[in-house]
Amino acid sequence: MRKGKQFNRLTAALLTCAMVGLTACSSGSSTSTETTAAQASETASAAEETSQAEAPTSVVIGMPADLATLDPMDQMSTSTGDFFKSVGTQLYKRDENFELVGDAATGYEQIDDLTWRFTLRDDINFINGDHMTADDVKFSLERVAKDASLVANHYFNCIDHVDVVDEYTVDVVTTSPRPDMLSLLAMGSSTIMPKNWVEENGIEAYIQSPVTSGKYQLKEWIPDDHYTLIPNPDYYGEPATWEEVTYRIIPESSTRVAELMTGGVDIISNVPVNEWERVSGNTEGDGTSLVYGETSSVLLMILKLTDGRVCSDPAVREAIELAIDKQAICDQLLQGAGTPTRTRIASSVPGHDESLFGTENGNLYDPEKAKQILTDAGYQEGQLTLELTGSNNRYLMDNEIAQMIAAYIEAIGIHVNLEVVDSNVLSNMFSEKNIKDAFLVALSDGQYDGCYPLAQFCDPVRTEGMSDWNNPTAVELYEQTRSEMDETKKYELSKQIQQICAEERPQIAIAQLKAIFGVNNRFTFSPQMDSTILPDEIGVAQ
Amino acid sequence: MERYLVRRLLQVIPVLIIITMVVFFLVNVAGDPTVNLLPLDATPEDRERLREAMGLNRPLYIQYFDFMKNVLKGDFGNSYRFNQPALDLALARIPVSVQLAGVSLLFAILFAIPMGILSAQFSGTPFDLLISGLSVLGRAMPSFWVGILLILLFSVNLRVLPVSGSGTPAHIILPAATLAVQTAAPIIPLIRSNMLSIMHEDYIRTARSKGLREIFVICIHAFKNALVPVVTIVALQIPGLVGGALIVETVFAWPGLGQFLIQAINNRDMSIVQVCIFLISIITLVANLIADLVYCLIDPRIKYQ
Repeated sequence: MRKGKQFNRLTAALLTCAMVGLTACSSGSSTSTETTAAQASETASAAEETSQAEAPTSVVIGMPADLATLDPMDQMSTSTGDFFKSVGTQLYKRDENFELVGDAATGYEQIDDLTWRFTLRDDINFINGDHMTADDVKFSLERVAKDASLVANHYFNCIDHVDVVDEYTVDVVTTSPRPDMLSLLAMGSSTIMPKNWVEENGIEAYIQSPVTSGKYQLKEWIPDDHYTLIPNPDYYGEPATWEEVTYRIIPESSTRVAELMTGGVDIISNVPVNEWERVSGNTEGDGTSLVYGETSSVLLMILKLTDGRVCSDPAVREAIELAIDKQAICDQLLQGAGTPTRTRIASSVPGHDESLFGTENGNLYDPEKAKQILTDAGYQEGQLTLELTGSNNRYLMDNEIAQMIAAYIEAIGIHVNLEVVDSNVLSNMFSEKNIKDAFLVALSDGQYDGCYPLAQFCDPVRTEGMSDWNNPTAVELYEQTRSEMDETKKYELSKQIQQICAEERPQIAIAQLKAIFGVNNRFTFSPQMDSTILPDEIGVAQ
Repeated sequence: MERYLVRRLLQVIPVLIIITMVVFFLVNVAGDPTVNLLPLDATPEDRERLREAMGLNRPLYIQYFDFMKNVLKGDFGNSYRFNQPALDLALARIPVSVQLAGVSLLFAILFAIPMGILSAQFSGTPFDLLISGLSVLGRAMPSFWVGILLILLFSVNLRVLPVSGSGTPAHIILPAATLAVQTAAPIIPLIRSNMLSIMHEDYIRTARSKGLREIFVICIHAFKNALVPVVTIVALQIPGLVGGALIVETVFAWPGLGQFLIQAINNRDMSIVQVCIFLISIITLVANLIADLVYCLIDPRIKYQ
């Protein structure tokens, strides 16, 4: 009896504690003592509540990964490259139509096949007040071209040297003809640094606090937490749209979605498929929507054509492609976030072959014909075994796609041993050319040039040990693209190579992937390319 | 006692050497860091050039001796990612992680101790069953799941707490509560069973016969003696809380040592991985030593030679 009374009192006490706890939690949420990204997001949320009539002047973006580094030349990450496109100046840049236009350069002249002469603007200042001249361009391009320890060096080591012609003119001299020079110079890795400042203070000081000259400047970077951009008041071009842009690093996708739904952030990237309905169906507050963006990323199966391997027979390769319903993969697994394709070059990249995309041209699905091809080639059902390697959590629905492809191939009588590996293991296997029969991977194109990605299949150094495909015509055409300075002719050559690849299938392209963003309806967002979010792509909804 | 302390501190040296060796070789065997630094389609020549520039093409044992030579000088090398001393970067994360660990430990203790005592006091009642059930559930539920559930409840539905991030007191509540669930779960049954056995001891009967109020008997005589094994389990959880809250820090975007380690592993930033594991090892050794010393304070019968 005494215990029973004590038990009741205890239960009542527990309930009281729980209520007090919850009250404390709710009041705690409004307490603030330090300045962090979280506060930035709270400020954005508060602004949302109090000033419906006022247009927002700041935006908070949720990203899955942080900046790789603050050295523009020691990275090849898309998000870090795009960060430097926002805060830095390159000789060229891509406009809203993805066309290459001058940034620091006002124009160029091709002196000979190896020499590009660029004239520079005379009104660019770095944020420390230094004036940008040809010396800064020479210093920056030669740094990334000469220092092999820099990650971007492998793109820029084609630059032999840079000559200063006068204060606002430089000659960039390459080791071999480079028709892709302008797209190379539009990469974030070619950001121009202030020569005198770096020589006085050291590159370490620059990496701590980059002295840039772009539309925005870095206000602060708390690694793995957030970084904030503010306008550069001395920017030479159109003024910045936003007074403050905060990128919060939220690696976990469900947390990112929760932040979007509760107003903690305004835009997020990489929304997982299982969250799409929740994001597009959210009507609380201003509501949220899904926005699809183009990428240069193509999901493809690289095949091992080495003699003795199952895919060395063209009939088997053709049967495998006919067995896969790429449209179903795009519709059912990717839920519209993919387009069937038969080429490695994405439709968003200049030089792609349009005739290899879409439901009819990109998807050859015909399982009966596939079975017939195998029978005609003399194979019995179950006689062939394909070793297929795929990844998990590296690309959108990659594990599920690998399983669906395996099921399609099994359906035409080829036994599939599917191995799904971790993202890092996949990278290792790829770099070590550790491919058994087929390797499912998505490859993008940092240069956005319709020739560069073809090296994967046409450069004998790269194909050896990888696909082991060696088509002399394709190799010859590829060599021509590397020296063809006329863009139209170059892309014509690229299309011929793409047709040969589609015919001979050293790889079977599955789908061009889309990037998926979640956006608060107070904002408009027009993504230009890939999963990054540039401040200029964001606007205020009417 | 002093001799014991010196001996324990000297034992730390070979342990740390073995740890550095194991970590160094495991991290290097796990894969080539240039794989993540360069795009997937970089040529083998590009990769080799970068490996040479970073000194990764030298034999592994030479790299290890160079690494150890520098470690003795307190230099764990520079982070590939940040191009800054790895030790400084990792040390900067420790206060953030300690803050989270401290609050979660506080939550765990404040919840587990009263629940353990009350569970023993009301042994066999529905309340005891409820607490025991919650304790089993707490151990069974994976922390990422608990974290996401708490986010959905308190942030998305009730909107009383922020989803993720750091900086204000409110931001620490959900990650600390998530960690506290895992920490409190094993402490509750331990306190309960210790209390149940102690409550039948002669000295408890004596205390009661002296006419002491039950609350004093429990808190002063029984609980203190039930605390020794609890100190062990709490001490063993501290390193996990400071450096091992990998999943919780990732779910809540808490910029501590755990998230830093995960990012370093993903980016193959070997210097950061090595220094993080080194620091976590030191924290573990120190926590164990402190636990041993606290035994003496709680139970004067324990003496170290």
